[in-house]
Amino acid sequence: MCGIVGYLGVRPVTEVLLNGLQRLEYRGYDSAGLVVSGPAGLKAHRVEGRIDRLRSLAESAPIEGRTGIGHTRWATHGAPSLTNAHPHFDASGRFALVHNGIIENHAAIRSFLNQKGIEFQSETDTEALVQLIGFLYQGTGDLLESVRQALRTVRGTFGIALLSSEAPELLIAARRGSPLIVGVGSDELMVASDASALIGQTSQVLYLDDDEIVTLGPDGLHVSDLDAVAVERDLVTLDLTLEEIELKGHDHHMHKEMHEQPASLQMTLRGRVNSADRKFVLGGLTSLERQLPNVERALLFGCGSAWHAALIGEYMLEELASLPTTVEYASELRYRNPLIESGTLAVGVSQSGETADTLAALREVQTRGATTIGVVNAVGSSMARETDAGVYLHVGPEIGVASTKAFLGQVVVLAMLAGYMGRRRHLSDERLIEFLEGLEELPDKVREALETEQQMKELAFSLADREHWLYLGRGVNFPAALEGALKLKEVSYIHAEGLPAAEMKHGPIAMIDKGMPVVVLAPRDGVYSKVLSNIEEVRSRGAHVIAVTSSEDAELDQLAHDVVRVPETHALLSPVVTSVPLQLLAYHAALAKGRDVDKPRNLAKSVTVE
Amino acid sequence: MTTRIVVFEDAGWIRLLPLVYMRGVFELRCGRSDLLSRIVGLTGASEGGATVEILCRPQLADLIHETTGRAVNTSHPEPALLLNGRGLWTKLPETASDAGSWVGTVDGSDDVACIAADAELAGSLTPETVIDQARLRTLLAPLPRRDISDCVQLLDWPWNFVHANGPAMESDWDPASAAIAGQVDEGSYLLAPEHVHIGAGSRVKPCTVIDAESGPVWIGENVTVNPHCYIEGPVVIESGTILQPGAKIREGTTLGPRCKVGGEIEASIVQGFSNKQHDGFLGHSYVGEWVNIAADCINSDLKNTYGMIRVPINGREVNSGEMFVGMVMGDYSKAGINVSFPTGAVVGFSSSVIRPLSPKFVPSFAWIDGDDVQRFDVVRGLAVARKVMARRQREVTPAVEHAFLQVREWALALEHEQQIPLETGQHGLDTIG
Repeated sequence: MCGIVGYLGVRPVTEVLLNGLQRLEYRGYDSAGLVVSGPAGLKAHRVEGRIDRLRSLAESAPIEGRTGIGHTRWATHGAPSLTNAHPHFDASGRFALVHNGIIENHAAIRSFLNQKGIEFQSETDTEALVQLIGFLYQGTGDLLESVRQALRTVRGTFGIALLSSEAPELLIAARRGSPLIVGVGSDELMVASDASALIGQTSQVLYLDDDEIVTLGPDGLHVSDLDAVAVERDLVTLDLTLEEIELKGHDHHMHKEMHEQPASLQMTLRGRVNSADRKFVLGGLTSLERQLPNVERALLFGCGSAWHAALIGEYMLEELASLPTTVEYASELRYRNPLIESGTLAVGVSQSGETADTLAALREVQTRGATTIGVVNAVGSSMARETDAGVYLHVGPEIGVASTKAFLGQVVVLAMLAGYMGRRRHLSDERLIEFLEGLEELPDKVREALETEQQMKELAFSLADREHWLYLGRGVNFPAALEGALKLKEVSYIHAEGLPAAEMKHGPIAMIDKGMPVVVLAPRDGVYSKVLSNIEEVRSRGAHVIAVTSSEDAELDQLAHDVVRVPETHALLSPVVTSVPLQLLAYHAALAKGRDVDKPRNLAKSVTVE
Repeated sequence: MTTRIVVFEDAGWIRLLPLVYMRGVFELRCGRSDLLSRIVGLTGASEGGATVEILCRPQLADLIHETTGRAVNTSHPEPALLLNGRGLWTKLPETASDAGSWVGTVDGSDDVACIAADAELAGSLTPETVIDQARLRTLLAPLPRRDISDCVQLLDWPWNFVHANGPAMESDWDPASAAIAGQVDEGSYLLAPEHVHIGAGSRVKPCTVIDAESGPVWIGENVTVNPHCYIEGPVVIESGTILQPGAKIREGTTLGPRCKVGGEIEASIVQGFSNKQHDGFLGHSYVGEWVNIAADCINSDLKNTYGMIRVPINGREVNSGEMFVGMVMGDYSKAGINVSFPTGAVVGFSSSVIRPLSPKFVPSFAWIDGDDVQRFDVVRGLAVARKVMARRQREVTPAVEHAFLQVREWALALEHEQQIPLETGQHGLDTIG
């Protein structure tokens, strides 16, 4: 995904745009650009690479104006390059556009416009859209009608902001499938891909819906749909603070967010679990309260870390709620011909709520009659709005591309969902209370687990030169192993694989050679002894074993080269605690390798493309 | 009283396609005349008189100057009263000399019905500004609003013209114009002759009934009404038009100049110079100029379910909110024999339909023959237009030619989705439907 920002107001526009882009940089950082509408027409700056380079360029060649739009790019169509950086202009130079999303029929549009003698400057799908707007404007003479006509023609997703030299004081924005928020300040108006760009500047926002166009101008904002019908929308108060998105002394957002986990889990649990009253209070599920006890099976889906959280949720739902559960990759589910039987509860897991594959899977299962729940962090996101009900993570904005606190939040929400369902499906009081107490203790346990940081740092620096790592776990810690491997890959670019511990001997054990790091999750639970056997197997092949355990066990101390101790928890909740040292390990391995932790190469925070 | 009146086109012109590809919105007809003539009549009747200028789409400036003889697209920093050209004006708004600039609206709508502009504002109201809704709204945002619903009705869509036509003809009727200057042959009957005007040189041949009991009948000069015709008011028939024997011209119909019509026409507007000579039905429709509708063509104007009719303006379905909507046919288009047009059909500019059932939307410059859809080449279309116009002793001037060729490019933008298959050769009714 990319990040777009737009501004119209009394402050110097370039500075406002740059600050907004800086906050959105986690969405994409291949290239960046901005364009300002001023007395001299539309003037733009574009750079390859980071916002800092754009800032330097803008400072060396200031552009005056009060209206502008900016963009930070994660490349989809067209290589990361200066030519493909946004904004893009139409052939006449009268229109400048920034775009987040993908125009699927861009090739056909490009072909048509080429036939009309319009030459393109870039390889991007975005340019096809702005060139089309420019072409249509020649016929309509009306800015809004040209934009409407173009948006009716294109297929795909977009969050766009547009300037025109024909109307220097106007900014037009629209969305379909990519988020866009309008911020209303005193004497100023803003648009942005997400709220982090607006924090500290305004608390009054408006969330655009799909196929809505907003015009920002000196006379305020006007929202209409693609049929030019005016849309009345109310402003809402933004529930985010600047403090939540600043680094606050940490070197990286990932580090900050890992250390926020005790507090963020507290927020996830607040008001929702009560061991004294033996209940879960999930207000977001109220509309389905009467249906949920009759659910016959669950289908969980997500991508990346969300999929891992869903795998953990599967164990919980089956164990606590006796609910047959399956887990699917969203990207596969959307293209299969899934059998959705009646009585299916489909749970989509997505931090951003905008992940393209997860959204598409959601819509697919809805079409087939499933009742849907969203487990989402971003308030007002597409998934939050399209599901029948849901539970927000409330972990605050997650800026680091690699998911940490959102992952734990997803696991905890799924745990609460499992307990909630179990409460309605014969879960005994004893087990319920035990689980509730386990949840309530989690924030403190995570805090304690974070104290392993120094140890993980030393491990990371000592082993960062190893090229292949293995992560093993059993039961509910198998997905945690997958997540640990993913974290290492994401931020350090070291190859790592997660496996169920028992599967390792069915082939992958052949890979193990002397000194290969093998991280084994071995909390004291029902399969502990089995895991010890797995440790012996890999150790005997020369692996360097790092065991993460809640156990004080001399045998383990003998078997493992390094033992990382984390507090004991309820068995089903152990991944929440065992994941923490794995996050720290990945973070410090990335530092050891000199990687950009918050903005890993080739990645984007929310994958809003297929 | 303001002495400078400027009739302007706003962004609403797009909704009146395909009828306004080669004319200003104010040249469309409703009531006794076209909208511009109506405004001129109001200003001429005012004390001291006034000049009437035009702001229109720049691409049509030359043509409109040629057809109207008025100053077109000349913005001056002089105070002016700007009137929306798609307004059915019944009186001019009051403009006090010290009132400052203000904007007239109708029934709380955002559309700009009029602008009382001081010198500075008048100078900034260019053709490009007034046809861009966002720019115009921004420019006028600081100005006070006044409701002028008692002065004007803004006509948004083609069917609005059709439905307003009858009542407008009735309210436009001047009893002083009741006169029979032409010849009414023996054996023809005038019902309520006090509501009938027949201009000089016109002839009503035997066995015709002109029935003005439900509304006035205004017949211009040199009109020929052949035997066995029935004309039911309110109706306007402009000069030089010929009614073929047995024609039934029903209430709410306007026939523009030099038309040849036969069969049944009900509550329809034919802009002028068009033919529908033979049997067939045309109802609740608006037909442009230089159109030929062949024998036994019919159009539906009412659904069997009596529901609201959706109309594909520029290929996009619009709910008309009306139960009776016929078809809209653009200038220079043709219908072959025995073509049936569905309810709410729209046929674009310079297109031809030769198949039993027409698609609901026919893009401009489309040649539909059976299931085959081809691009009708614009140059060939212009050549045909020359022939057709020559038959009425009309010339294709450079302005007409330029505007005609321009329509092709416009259509590519304004009917974009339906034009693409014609451009790329993906022929077939399903690709344009």
